[in-house]
Amino acid sequence: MPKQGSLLAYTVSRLILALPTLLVLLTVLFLVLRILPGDPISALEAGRRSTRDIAADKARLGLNLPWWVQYPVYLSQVFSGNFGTSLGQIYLGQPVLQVILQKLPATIELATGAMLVATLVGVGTGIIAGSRRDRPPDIVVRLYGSIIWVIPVFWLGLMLQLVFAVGLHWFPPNLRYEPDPVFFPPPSHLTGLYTLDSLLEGRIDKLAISLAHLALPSLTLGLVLSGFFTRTVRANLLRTINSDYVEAARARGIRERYIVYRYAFRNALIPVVTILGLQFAILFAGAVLTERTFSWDGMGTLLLTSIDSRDYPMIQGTVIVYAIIIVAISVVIDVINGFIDPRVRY
Amino acid sequence: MLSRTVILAIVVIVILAVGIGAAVVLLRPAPAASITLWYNSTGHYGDTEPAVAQLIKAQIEATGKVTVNLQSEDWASYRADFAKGNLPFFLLGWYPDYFDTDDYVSPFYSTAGAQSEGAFYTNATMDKWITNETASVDPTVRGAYFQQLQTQSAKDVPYIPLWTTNAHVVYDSDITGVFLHPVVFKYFIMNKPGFDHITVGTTDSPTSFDPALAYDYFSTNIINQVFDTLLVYEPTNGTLLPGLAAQVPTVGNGISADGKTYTFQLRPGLTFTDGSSLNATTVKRAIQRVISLNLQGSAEFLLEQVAALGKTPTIDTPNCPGPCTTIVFHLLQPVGLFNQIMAFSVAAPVPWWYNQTGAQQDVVNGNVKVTGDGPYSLTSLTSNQQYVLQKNTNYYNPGLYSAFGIPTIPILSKIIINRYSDSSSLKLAIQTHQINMAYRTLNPTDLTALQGSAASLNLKVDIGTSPQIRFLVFNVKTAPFNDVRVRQAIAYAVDRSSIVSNVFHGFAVTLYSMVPPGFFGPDYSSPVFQTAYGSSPDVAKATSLFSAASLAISLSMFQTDALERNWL
Repeated sequence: MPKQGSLLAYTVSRLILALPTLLVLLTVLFLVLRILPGDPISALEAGRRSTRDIAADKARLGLNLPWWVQYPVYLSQVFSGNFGTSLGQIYLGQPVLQVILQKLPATIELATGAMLVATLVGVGTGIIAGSRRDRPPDIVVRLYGSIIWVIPVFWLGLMLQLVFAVGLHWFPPNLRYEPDPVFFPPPSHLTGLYTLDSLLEGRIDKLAISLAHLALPSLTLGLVLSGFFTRTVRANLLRTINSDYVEAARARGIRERYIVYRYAFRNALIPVVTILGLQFAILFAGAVLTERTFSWDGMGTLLLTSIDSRDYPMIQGTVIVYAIIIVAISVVIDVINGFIDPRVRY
Repeated sequence: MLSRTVILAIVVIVILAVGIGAAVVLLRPAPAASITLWYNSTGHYGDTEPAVAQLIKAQIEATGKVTVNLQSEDWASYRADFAKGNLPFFLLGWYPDYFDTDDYVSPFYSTAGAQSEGAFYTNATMDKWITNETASVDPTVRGAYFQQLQTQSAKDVPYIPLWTTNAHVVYDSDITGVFLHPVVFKYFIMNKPGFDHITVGTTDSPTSFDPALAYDYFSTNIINQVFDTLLVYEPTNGTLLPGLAAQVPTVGNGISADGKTYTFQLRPGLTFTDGSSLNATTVKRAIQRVISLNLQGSAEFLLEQVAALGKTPTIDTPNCPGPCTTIVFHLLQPVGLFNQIMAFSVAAPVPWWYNQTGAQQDVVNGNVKVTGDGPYSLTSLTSNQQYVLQKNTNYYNPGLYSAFGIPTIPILSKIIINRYSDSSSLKLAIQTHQINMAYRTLNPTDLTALQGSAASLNLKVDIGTSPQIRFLVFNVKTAPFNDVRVRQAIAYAVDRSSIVSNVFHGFAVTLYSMVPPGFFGPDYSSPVFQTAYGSSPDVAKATSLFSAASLAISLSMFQTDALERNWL
């Protein structure tokens, strides 16, 4: 009982700690946006309208006020769940939250696909390397881990497009679904996740199209992230394989394969779970570039276009949603860690 | 003894080092004066901009008199900075708002216009000529003013015109009726035998499909398929035809002798696609709506200021109630280009129920709320992703272009437009036949590659002229560019042909006046920069002008690089 109580206390403390993290982020975001040269009205109107009109429009939105006057207003709006309406060219006047909810499923779908690829490839190659130290498979995998980690994600994306879309015609080059809704009607909008919606509709053909479109972006982002997994899994596996309890198991004559999977691998995974949380932050950053390369209309594309037009409310909304997701994942992973490794709680 | 030798050696070394250092500092050649050229680094004008800036830098530095520093900013910062007067010398582009020569003159050479372009140029005579050409409908009178304006512009050089971009479209070779019209890219005259629809790819992003708000190429082009205006354009050029109006007003037949009253007769029995009626009061209300809303980022000023309708326009509808087909606009001053503005999307009538307190949202509760009267209806849209145009089966004027060999419009039942994030994505899509047509914007390298493989891919590549102009801007209030000799020297130094061939692989045309040749109605363009500065660079003249102005440059060399900003 006391053990469960302490886990609960730990969870609550993690959640409480998440709040100041968000507040710091909100403040930094607010300041950075105001420090950046340019503003939404100039981005929309400069060079096309008179300086007087531009000043009047800024005044109407309160953008001419000093930052210490704008800041409390901004905080109170954010904490009351009012993300405002867009000031950028594309989504002008649309509620920020509505636009974000429209784009979020695309990013979730891409992130899930990429995480799946990263975990499968990363853990798989990590085990191969870790269990065959300094033998040819290990050298190949180590080389892979280093190279894939430094390849720019957009370059890998372009190469995969050239090979698998232009050259081999195995996969479509970009977009989330076929561009012709007459011949290929997209799945009806239930969750916004095309794969899930196709399944809910019971249409295997639509699922196949969605997966074909998801393949290259997921592979691109997943492969780049897999390098980190490969190296971490390998290093941890080597550490556990050489530990005393594994030696003891060997001394008892247990088969090496069984030792690797039953004893070493499971313990080697504990630090991997910890870095999983960090990986999500990198994943979302990589998703911005991947979305652009594949014309994937998600949060990353939204963030880029919003920054381009200095759409303050949309940038704030997008970053806050990203932050909430990452903080939530961190808390969940902290709790999982606390559960599987009781030392963390003390 | 040894330590004394060491100390002596150190002293000698120090003296030598100080001596050499002093010699380097004192005997170095006098530093060349430096100027800074700014450009946009985030692809607003495509990914060719850094190469253009590099070339211009090399061309100016060929004089040996100045060094050119290159600095870049993202588009939002760039716009804010040049409008504030923070950029002394920079690259810019212009796409016209309305299709009259005036739109290449007043935004640049009028005092108010030059201020918003960041040039801060002012010349009372130019202001007077602009007022006069705007007021006249007589091509001879206007032509004389435009000639004077252009000639003076080459003397004062607040801008250096460089090139006009090319319009381009890549499409399946069996699609017919594709024409790179200077104003509206008309989907409703296209056909693909055996198909009732085509898919199009674009890198453009729209703002809104409310005529009161839209003010960018993509949005206004879609509006032009979905809404008709009082006057519309011929299929292949900028000549006006009657649209919702039964005829194009002319002096004595719709235009009063003083040029201040314009009368239009609407066709009878017009309706929007939702069945609501379109009469003179609808047109009046739509124009009043644009002006009273005055939405930020919109083209409202075209109606209020350029068309001189004023803040509270006086518009009569003499035969309402009744047939309600006559509409009379009373302008605050004569405006020769009023007809052109009535063909621009901002003047498109909208249904009575459109939001009168703000922009009409394109989608409300999942339903598309863009309702027009044009050849197509917008039936489905996902912001920044996909737009579907569907044939308006009740279009009032299917025979609009029958005199041009197109018996009925629209031809295709559906046009599906998908958005791609950049030029290379768009190229991949057309290359792999994911789409039937790529319209705007492919970069010159991709375009060259597609031209090379067009035949094997069964594609056609059309290159046309675009009304977009590109030019250099000087902030004439900032040293050293407040010295006209410095601006003229740069006008002598730039090599347009080199930019066109090296950066654009020929997909651009050299430009010698801010008024590009041969676009709309009478051609008022005059290649004044060619006459004044020659068609190829004259380094000797540029050098001597720089020398003459050298005092001005050296005095200002420490001022031009620093940007002052109001942080926070």
